Amino acid sequence: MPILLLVVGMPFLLGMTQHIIQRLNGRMNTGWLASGSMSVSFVLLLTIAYQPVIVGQGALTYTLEWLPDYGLNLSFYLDSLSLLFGLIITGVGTVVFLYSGYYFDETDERNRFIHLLLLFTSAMLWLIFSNNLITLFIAWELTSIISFLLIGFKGNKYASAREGATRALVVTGGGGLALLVGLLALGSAGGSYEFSDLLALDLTEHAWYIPLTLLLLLGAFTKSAQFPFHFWLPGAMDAPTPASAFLHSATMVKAGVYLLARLHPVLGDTLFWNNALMIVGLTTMLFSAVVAVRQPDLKGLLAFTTTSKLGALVALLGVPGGYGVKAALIGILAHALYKSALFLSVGNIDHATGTRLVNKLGGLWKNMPITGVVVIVSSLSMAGLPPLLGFVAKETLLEAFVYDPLLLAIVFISAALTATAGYILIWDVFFAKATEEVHFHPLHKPLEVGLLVLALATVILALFVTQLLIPLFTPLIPVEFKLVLFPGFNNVFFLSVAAITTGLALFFLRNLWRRVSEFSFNTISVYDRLIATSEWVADQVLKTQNGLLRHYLIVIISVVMAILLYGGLVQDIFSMPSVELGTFTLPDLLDVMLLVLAVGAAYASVRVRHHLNAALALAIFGYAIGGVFFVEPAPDVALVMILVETLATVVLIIMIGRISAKQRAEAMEALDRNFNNRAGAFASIRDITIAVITGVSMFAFALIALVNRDNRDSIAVWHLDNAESAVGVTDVVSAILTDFRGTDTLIEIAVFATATLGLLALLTINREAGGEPEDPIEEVTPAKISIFTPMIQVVASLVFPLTLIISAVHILYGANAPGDGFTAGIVSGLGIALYYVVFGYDYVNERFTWLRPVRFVVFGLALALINAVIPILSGGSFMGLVEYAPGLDFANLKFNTTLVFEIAIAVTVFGGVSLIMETIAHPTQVPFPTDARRTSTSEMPVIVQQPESEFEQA
Amino acid sequence: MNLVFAMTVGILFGLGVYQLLRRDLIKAAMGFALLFTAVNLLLLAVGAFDGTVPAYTDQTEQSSDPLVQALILTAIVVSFGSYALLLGLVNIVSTRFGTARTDDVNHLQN
Repeated sequence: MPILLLVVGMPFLLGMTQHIIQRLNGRMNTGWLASGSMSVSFVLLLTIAYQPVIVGQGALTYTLEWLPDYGLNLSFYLDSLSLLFGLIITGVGTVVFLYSGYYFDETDERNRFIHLLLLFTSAMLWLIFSNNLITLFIAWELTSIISFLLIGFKGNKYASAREGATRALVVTGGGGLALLVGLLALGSAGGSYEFSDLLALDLTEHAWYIPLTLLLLLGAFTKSAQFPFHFWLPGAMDAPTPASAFLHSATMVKAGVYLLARLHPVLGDTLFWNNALMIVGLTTMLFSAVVAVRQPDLKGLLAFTTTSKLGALVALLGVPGGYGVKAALIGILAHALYKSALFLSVGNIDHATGTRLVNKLGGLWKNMPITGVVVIVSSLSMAGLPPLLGFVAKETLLEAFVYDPLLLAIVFISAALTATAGYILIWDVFFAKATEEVHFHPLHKPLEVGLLVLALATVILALFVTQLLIPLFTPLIPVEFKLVLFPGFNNVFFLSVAAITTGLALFFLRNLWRRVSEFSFNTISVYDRLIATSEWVADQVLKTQNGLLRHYLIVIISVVMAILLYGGLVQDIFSMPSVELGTFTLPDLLDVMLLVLAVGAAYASVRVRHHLNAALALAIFGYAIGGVFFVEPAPDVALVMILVETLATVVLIIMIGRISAKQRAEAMEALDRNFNNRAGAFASIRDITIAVITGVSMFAFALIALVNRDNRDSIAVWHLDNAESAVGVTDVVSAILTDFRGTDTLIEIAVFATATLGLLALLTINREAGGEPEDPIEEVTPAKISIFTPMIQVVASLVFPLTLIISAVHILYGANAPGDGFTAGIVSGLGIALYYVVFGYDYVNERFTWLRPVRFVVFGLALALINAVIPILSGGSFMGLVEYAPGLDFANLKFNTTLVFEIAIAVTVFGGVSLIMETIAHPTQVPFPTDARRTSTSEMPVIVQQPESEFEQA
Repeated sequence: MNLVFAMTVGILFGLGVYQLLRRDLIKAAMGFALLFTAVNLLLLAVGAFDGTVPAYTDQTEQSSDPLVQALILTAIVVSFGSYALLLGLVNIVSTRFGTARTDDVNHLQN
């Protein structure tokens, strides 16, 4: 069963590593690689498909537990149905990927396309093999999103591609929401979120049956483009043709049908189910077939025949007694084969001639005979001629509806019209004389040859339909059935022949039909009106926004305070025991002095006008708080606090220097203006009021927390008692950081690293682009400062090695003394910061060529992660304790995971600090495009509304 | 002492929020620094117990609460990282919008 993990995961891994492969070998055509992996998956699935465990009614499940308590597992379900889909996806995928490798003229487009298509394949395989309802939903949404990206593939050029993509996403995404609720309801109703449990149940009598089924049907109908949601599928034809072939005919649009087939045993075959599926399915089928024939664009024609077929499949699953399931399964297979072949052929036609319009094409047979053969075989299969798989599909389809004359009539007309569409594809495109000269340029051979595989499959599967398909279908079909290529001259056969001939008759009348079927009914306008309405509502809501950041802050803070006060702060104050003043010791006196200093400095930082003075006041505030930590006594914290405060002050001052003096002066003026007018006075009073309320509330909150705190009854005591025995560390803070709450620390250094990388990204975008900022700053960045005497420079260059030694000591002996990986990282970071401040950016860059902060960050994080995983390998838990060298007794050191973790923390923090320094000490300011202030939304260039072809003609 | 700590925390929060609401982005960023530290101080104060010696296992007297210290320690480093990022944002805003005044950065308004 891990085979399934491979089958599902391989396309994803290939997709994610694709750019690496490209980088290693820029000219490599990854289409071959992807196609190869698909064929391997296909063979793997084929080896499972006919094993007795599948054939004999059974299904295999395979579960990787993730959150078993919440029923969230990565579990796979493998039965004939998922295998049928899996074989279609991997089989058609093999051809489509090969094709995609040669379809695009631009290498970049090709790579981006194959990347997306690989990700889609993974999501689609995950969807059909998913045993869990929630993971099924996730995969379902993933396919919708990737479909959106593929439809909008040329969105930078064509407005229609953007519209089509958005429409598809809104419809399928909206249906996805209904599906989610439906799945959750199904899970609760059935008492399990696993198909393997649910399929044994019959929920048709459940109280929630109707709403639950309705929601699920809504999800399935939108995904499978059923009337009235069908319009997104023809709109999706702006996707590159291989995507249309793969997503929008063979696989993704059948996800809805898959879901219906999957749930048929649980929810199906009730009056409600059958009626809903029949009405929607048959409407879609007839409507689309009528519209299909008059499409001027070949892709449009194929899109509407696809929705027609999807309608047929849905209706078949609604035939009472399960008599339609056989035809549905055959139909899924036959349609996937002929329709993907037809789409790819249309791609070839488009590629070779530069147009897809029926009335411009003609006489292509002499130029592209291979594609011609494929189109003939596939179109005839679509029309339902023997000995092709489509014939079997059409026969079974008619057979399923033979019990009711009205339904049969609808199906008959649709089938005849589909046949007409097939004849149009063959005759008008390949044999009729073109009205004007058709431009033609030759194709890569793989584009044509690959399609022969699909055409061949259509023939072979039909010839051996009994042998190949009966074992696969037997577990899925609830009734006795026969499946042969040629069932004899019975009623159904004559019906089938009649449909084919009627189709031919309609073909001769096609021009008349095009005029007759011209009616102006479309659901897109309804959709557009809905969207316009929602945009209008959004506009009204937007009017409540004034865009002033401070006002948003005021609202946020006020709401938080209101919640705090409403949430019981007031009652707590009054029910609080009286505050005991207690004894007053010497450390307390120190504390009070430091706190007074801190509050004074904080007030000063608020009060003084000049930014640099405020920054210095803030530094004093930080040191005072550091002192408080020291008195507590919390030496580790005090150490880090004082070091970080130093660093923060350096960063703040450099940052202030990067903002131009003019802007700073303006900002300071803005501080003063407060009381000059009424509005200003009002604003000041409001701000002060909010600040006072916050302060008082937090005072009350702190007081309550302090008075009611647990004494000696908390987990802290447990940490104190167990630090030495469990971790072998006497410094309890270190023990908590590296072991008891080690995962927290791991995440926190990751957060720190991310913040520093974010700073790098922020301040270096456009750095290479050059250009002048519109308001150039005067240079106060360290690069230009020359107040530093040689004396200071000597000291600075001595300090850095010293900081490294201190760091090493902190790391090695942090277990039993104040200091740890964090202090080590910050101390050495301070050394680097001093270098930047004293010598400037260029000198440091030249001198320390080894200093690549990003690499340090990455290395530190990787080391921490690997170190955390190693204990699992030796049977322990994530972040467990392992002695790397138990026998080693050197300088009182323990060489274990804790030590390595400390090193990793130090390296990450050092890297992060260096990264900050490198970024902000860079002498050039980031220039922004000068019109950035005026263009709020990037404007897309609109060139052509409706592309007639995907290829630009030379 | 409880009262003193609670008052300090309250004052610092008030100052921090006031600073945050100023019309000057640089000062607003400084307000964040005040708030970060005020939170750390609050954490320290609400630690499970007062101690007289650092939290080492070989101490005989009652030690300070190690858990809050560990929390504060990582919080300090992480807030430094976010502080740097915040200042970077202020920097970007000042180059992009040509101002360091909060009220001029009203781009959300269309």
